[in-house]
Amino acid sequence: MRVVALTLSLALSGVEGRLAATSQRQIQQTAPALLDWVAAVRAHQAGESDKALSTITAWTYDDIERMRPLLEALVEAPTKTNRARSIRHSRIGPRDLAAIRDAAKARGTMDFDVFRRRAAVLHTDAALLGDPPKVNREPTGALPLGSTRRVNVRNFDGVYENLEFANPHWDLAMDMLDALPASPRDPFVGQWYAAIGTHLVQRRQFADALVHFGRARPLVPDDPRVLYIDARLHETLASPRIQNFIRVTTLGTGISIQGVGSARTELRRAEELLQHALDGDPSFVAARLRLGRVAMRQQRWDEGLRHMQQVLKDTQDEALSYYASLFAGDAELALGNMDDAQRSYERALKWFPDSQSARLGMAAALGADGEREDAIAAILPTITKRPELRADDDPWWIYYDSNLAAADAALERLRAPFRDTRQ
Amino acid sequence: MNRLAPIAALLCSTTAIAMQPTFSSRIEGVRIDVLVTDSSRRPLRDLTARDFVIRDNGVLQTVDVASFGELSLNVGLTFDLSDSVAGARHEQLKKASHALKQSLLPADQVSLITFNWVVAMRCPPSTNHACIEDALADAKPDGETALIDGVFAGMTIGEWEAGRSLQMVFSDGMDTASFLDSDRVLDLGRRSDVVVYPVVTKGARPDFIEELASLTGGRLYEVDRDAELATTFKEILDEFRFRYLLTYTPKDVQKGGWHKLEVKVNRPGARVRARPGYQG
Repeated sequence: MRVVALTLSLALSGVEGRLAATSQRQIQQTAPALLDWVAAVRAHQAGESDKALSTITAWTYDDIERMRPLLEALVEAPTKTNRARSIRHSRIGPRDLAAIRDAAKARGTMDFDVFRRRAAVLHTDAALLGDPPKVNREPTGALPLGSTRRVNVRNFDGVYENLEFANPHWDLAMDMLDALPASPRDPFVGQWYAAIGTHLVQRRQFADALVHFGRARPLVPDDPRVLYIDARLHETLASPRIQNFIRVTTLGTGISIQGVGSARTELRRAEELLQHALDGDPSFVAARLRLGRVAMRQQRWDEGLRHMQQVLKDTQDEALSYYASLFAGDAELALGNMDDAQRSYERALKWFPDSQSARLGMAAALGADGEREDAIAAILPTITKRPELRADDDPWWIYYDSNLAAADAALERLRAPFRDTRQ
Repeated sequence: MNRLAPIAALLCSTTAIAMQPTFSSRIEGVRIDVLVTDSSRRPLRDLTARDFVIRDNGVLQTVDVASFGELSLNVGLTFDLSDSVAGARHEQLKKASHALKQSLLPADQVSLITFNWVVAMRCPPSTNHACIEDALADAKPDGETALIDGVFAGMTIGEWEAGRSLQMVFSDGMDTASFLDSDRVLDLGRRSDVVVYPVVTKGARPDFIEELASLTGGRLYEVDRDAELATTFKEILDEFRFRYLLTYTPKDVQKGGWHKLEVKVNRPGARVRARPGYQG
């Protein structure tokens, strides 16, 4: 089984002291660094830890902060507000402007949009394959007000582990996407946000995912794939895994976790997004399944049950059929229809015969019906199996995580066009 | 649930762990597991059926049997073996289980269910007390915490035998992975004869666990330090051993629905701890 810590964003208020994350700059002059970056964009083989990538992953946290406005200017990423424009201009001096012009020439004959997509892939791979940018010290909770650095909270099994800075390569990748044509929207943008969103949710990097979808929304507001993954993020944030952690965790005075609402708020957000996704693609079975589950979590059992029944009509997919049967059992149980609940759990067991969840549900239905010995018999086959042999027995265990194979496949499709450096 | 229908002996076959569980017969009637203490929290040991006053939905009942210390115990252990238990806490859990074993009587049955996201019965109910220590020594804590699923399975298995069933639950954290929701466990608690004693570490008290303890007539223990686990487990076992098992056949009350129970003792200063009712 996978062991993955999850991350949530951290809000800091009333802070004192100095920035804890200063790092030694590797880049002394911006002009050669910009030329190196252009060469890396052109040369990088997507998905490979090659020399081009190592040029970029050697940048420290301070280097990236220094280079970011220059790279945005180089790819002509739009500044959305006057304040952003002012900040960018204040960080770019006359020498930098000359360096940017030289670097733009170094792009050569490569189509500008291809170059931007390649740049996005380069920073995506830097985030995925490289070590996090160097800092002198990990955050201790004290950041200066106005700092743009994001701090994430790592925790596992409901227990706080440590604070860490968010990887700024994600922000750089999104900056590159901002520079792609808006009307009509470059299709790579939606593909990137769906694939990387899937990856982030699968890896439980919820803090990065929140920022990710916050930037996706204005760019691809109606893309069913992006809406669906965004909804899954909020469904997960509503889960006991996250809500319980937030409820019992104390991180210190002036520090709080941000971006996560109450379970009710997160479920409503997920519901809106799933409904929007289904409006765009009524045949989106996975979205319907989640919509039904979200309705059930808000005690709307009848409505949830109808969605599950529709899913069972619309799909032959093993995992979706299993989930729909399992959740239909839950709804029937809550509605007091014990025989129907048992039938639903039995159907789930046809797909995954050793599913712990289906057997527990079955035991609950039998027990509520007064069949205590049958309830015991229902759970024995699963709880007496050796725990280490059971990793794949029950898809419930990965319900809140994206399917690993699907996440990897989406990433592969994203990278495939950028394996040839001539593109 | 407390209205006990006769259960024929059943045999179930399982694969990975060789065993053939047998369900023993139960008698028709309602059972209530009751702790009676004096003002100093010392158990009162000399009570008879005539000392107890039971009202079922307000209707006075006649206690048929009040047994004390005569029945062997079914001790179910449901332990959290998720990632957060790894290390020193796991070692203390092993020590506590050793201490518990020392306090068991030869006829007491004991079982062990562990949970991370997987719920596993590592020791089926038996008088093989050594199984607990062996299983905990072999186990490696990791993964997330399916506390609700684990407690539900533990209570379900706790109904295996007709004797007095104690369910001791240990967890150091909040639920992060269960399929079932807490309503299912509380519903089972209303129907079950199993008495639940949860032991949680300071600051990790899930909402439902105290209610479950109260519903079943048990008590929640919150430990400050892992080293307190051994004494806590022993204290729970001692307390449970000194409880009375009352049995009565309900008269003049309707079947079904929730039955509110009132249990009193005709002794000045006596304190009574019992389940507040049962699902008929």
